[in-house]
Amino acid sequence: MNDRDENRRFESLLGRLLEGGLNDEDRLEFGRFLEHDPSRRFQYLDYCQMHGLLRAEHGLLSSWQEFDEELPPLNAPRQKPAWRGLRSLVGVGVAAAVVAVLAAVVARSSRIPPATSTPPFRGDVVARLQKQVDARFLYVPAGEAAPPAGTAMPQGAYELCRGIIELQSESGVVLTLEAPASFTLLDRQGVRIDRGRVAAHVPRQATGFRVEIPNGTVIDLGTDFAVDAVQGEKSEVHVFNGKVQINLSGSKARGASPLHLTTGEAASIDYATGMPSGIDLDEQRFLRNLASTPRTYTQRVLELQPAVYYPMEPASDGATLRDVAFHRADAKIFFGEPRKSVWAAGKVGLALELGGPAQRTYAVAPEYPQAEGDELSVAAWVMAESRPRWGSIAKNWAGSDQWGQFHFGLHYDSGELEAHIQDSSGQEIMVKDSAPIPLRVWHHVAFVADGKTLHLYRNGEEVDGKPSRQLRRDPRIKALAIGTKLNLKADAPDSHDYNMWDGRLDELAIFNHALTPRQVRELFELGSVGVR
Amino acid sequence: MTNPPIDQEALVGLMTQFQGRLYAYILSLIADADAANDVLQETNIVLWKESRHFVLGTNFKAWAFRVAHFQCMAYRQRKLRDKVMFSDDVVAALAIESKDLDERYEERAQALAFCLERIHFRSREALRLRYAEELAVAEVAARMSRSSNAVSQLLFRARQWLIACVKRTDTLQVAP
Repeated sequence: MNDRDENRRFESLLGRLLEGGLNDEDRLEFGRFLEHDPSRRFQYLDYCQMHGLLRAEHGLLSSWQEFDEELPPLNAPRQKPAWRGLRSLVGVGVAAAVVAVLAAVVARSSRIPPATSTPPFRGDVVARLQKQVDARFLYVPAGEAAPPAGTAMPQGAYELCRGIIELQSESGVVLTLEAPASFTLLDRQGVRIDRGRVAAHVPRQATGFRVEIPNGTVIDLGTDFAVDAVQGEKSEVHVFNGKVQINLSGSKARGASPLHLTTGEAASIDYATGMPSGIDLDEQRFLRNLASTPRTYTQRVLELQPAVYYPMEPASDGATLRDVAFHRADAKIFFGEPRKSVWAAGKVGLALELGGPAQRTYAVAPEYPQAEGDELSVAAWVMAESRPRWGSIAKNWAGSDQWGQFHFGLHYDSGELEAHIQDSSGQEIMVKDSAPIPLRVWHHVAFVADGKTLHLYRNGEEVDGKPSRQLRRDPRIKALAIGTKLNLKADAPDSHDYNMWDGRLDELAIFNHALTPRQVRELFELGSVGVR
Repeated sequence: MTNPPIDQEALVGLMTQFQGRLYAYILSLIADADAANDVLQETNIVLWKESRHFVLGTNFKAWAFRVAHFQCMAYRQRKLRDKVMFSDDVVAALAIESKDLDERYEERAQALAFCLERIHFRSREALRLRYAEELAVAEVAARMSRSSNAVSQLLFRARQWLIACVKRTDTLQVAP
């Protein structure tokens, strides 16, 4: 059959489907059409949805409303609905219908076999949940919504609706998945990802591990790679190290040669045709691991003896920023509405991702060890998506006239990197970069008050400096706000301008002593060589 | 610990609101219009009986579709021996894609009235007889003095035209 004949045949089967006109052979043939061609599945789903819409429009599905006034016998003749406007009736008289619904349910229960919820298929255990951050599943092995780390994961389909998980397959492959994701554990050497992002680290002994995506199968040939699967659109494959082979299986890709990608390469696979297109590697999009192994950057920061240090590695509750320095001044994350994941790929490991004034998510350490002398340094990696008014990196400051110890973020609406401190005379001293901070790239930012000068650094270079003497602190202002500025009571963001950060924050460290220019430069260079 | 009793009025409202969406989802998985009706009723019963597990303000769609999915799987188990069904792979793909498509349901429902007013009168009459009068194709054919095959094709083309229309109307954001 050529394409035109195939289309005719498919439409003929689809047309007869709703009228009960398909025999078993037809149904089998129809199933084959759907199996091999996603575009036909979309056609079929549109058709089913339209049938549902027409039935709802004509009142054929709103049995609840039949019993608005009084409960008729269940075998009473059904009143035919009028041609239009039946949708508007839905919901009218609902209160009166409640009793009737109960009666109807009970009555129907007597003639329909008792319905039981059938759990999804679960086979042999093929993986284990190594780590999880605020994870919620719709389908889980034993039915619970939030399985703890260590849970055995059998073969079967799963829907991760919130959080991040790290799975280790029986063959040793580490998979990091971000919600929302729909995936199926196939066996110890394979997973299917229908929707969502997954990064895979495949050790040598597991070479050949496969990730099935819509219209393709990614076969590892010794690598670190990631997949962003999107049903109905383009799915992407990004290779960070090593190489992969992608077997293409879309309707137009039958018989096509496999695609090979090596380190630094990426491709998108079109859902409808299954054909690939080359794209740029995107290292920032994927969470590559939740590992807490020591890293060079982290070790160096700790050697510099920070007062507080937030590497932005999430606690298992997903709502705490751990301070890994001596004082353990953990910060609590306050989520805006709607609640969204705040974890994203960082400059080193993971980063805290905030959504600016529209999202209003931020973090607070209620008390932290403030500098008591005249020296103070604050350093972080930041990436801005936009420059909200007074976008905050971190602040111990309150309102416009209550000054704390420091104010570090972006300047008003112009968006230059800036830092403020208050000296012992009560004077506010500000240093500011000369141009707005460039968006969507990582910057190492720092300011240092050394008792003589307030220095501001971006990417290891000093961009401004002003004389400053003694450092003052306000004993009323105890909290450290991350990604916002708090009010004086420290119970909410300052309502004037909000000061929210839009973008990612990583490796925030506060030192109650002055870093040297060389140390600031060193931190910038350590992060710049791609240390993860 | 069980959840506090749900507001029954609110639950009925949600269930009523989702009947068309659930029906379309179930139909897409089992490909049998009559059986889809039965499975929808079974789903309604489970939703009602298990309403203590649902907390108002949480994701009703996720819960209701999950229950519907289980009922479809149970139906497939019952029918495996006497009817040729879609393969598990096809059902898995359809389950995901159908849920994605459902995101457009309300927009399309809004657009449908607009489109029904503009469809060719012959198609509109066939749809009216088939859906409002609930007549079988053969009965519609008798009323319209046409063959059953011609009515089947007319209904198929009418649905296809409406699908294209609601998609266009989605794009144009035309008020219903």
